[in-house]
Amino acid sequence: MKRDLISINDLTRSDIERYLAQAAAIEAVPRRDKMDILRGYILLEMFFEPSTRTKLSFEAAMRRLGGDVMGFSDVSTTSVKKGESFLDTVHTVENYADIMVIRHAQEGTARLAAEASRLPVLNAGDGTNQHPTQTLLDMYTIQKFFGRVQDLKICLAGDLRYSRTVYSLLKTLMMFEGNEFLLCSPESLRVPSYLKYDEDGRRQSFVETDDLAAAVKNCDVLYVTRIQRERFADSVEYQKVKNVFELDAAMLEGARPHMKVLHPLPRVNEIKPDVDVTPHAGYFEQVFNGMIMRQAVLMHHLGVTL
Amino acid sequence: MNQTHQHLYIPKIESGVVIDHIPAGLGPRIVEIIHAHPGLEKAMVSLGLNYGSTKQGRKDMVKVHDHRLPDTVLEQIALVSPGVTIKRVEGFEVTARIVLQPPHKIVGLGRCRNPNCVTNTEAAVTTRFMAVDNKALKFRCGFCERVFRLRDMEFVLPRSAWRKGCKR
Repeated sequence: MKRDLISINDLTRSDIERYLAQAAAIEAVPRRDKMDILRGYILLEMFFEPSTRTKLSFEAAMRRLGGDVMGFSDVSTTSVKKGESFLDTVHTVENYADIMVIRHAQEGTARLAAEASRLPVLNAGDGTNQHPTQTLLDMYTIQKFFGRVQDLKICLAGDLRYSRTVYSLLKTLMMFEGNEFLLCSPESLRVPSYLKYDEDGRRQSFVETDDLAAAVKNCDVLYVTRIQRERFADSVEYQKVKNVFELDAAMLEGARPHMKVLHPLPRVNEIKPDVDVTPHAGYFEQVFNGMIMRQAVLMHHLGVTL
Repeated sequence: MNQTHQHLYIPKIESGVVIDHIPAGLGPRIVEIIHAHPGLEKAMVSLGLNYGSTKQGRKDMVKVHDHRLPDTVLEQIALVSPGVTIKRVEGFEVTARIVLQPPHKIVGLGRCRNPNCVTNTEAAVTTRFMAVDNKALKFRCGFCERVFRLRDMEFVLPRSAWRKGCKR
């Protein structure tokens, strides 16, 4: 039976642990020794929406395991432009590859493709809904930095109301015992209340604040997301909030020595460049981990083992 | 006006089904669902509106004479009005009584209210919604994963012949 990766909501704790273990295993293999693992397999990238990191990361992951990549990232060069339906596009291109990765502006497209296609489908972002490999790579990054994904104090900062990254990461971290959450956002961008309960309806340990400077000093992981201008009706309000949620190196003085700053990227102003050279910056390593996790995902969903 | 008195407005039925505790205003919609079902188009139905109710304040009531209601009709009624009481009547006596529970899954009857959900642009997709919180009557779209309250959801239920073409 084919395996799809569509939503974090479909995964159990043991699924997450398996992905983490698989990523660690593939990272441990020297680069030269894994150049043939996916030889003969073709990854089809269907990017109906622009992407830098995710697309290149999947490509690098596939190529470094010896596989081939084809696809498109500009819909105007495809028959979709001529009015072809999404499902017809899926049924056509599935004949050319072994696995497909889809990014689309509409929510539910990856699920629809997965149900229609005989190929394994990986969701690389469906509108504001899900981006499961981002969550998996975030978890892998935390696992690598701390040797565990539980018993941690995690501060999520920025836009916690509209960010799909935050939803999925929060939900996943809540599967593991002992995690405490510090939710740092402007009042208008707080986490929706239903996200504060785990699968069994238990309320999780949350502290909500809008004081980023204080939160920085009191966590193991600081996960920053971008505050988007379009979420504010009033541009004055946006400017006010934006400046409060900018992290610079000076704010990191007094942070726990092992504390790591993560960000799904791209960043705009929310992390100043002077943070990059501090030992707390973890976001570029996070990018590298993304490629490793996607190697693990590609192998798992193609049914290939080390 | 006491309850015994108001029952005079819809006489007891000898056999059939009584749908009670319908929130006021939903009675006509339920009659419409019943009449739209093949085989029930000509069923004799009594409809009572705005009865006094100690629990609900006001309620509607529907009596279907000499017919039973198939499961598909009950499923559709459960969407527009979960919690109504269904009583089977034989020989003027109530022989069975159930409280209609909200469904666990709604397939092919709902339209996703997220305008950016793929089900609203791909013509061939059958929608589905799964209950995520049965107490609060919340359902998650099987595609875009957005969660909606049952009372906010839109359903594409069959309409009876006499209402076809009318605006909702």
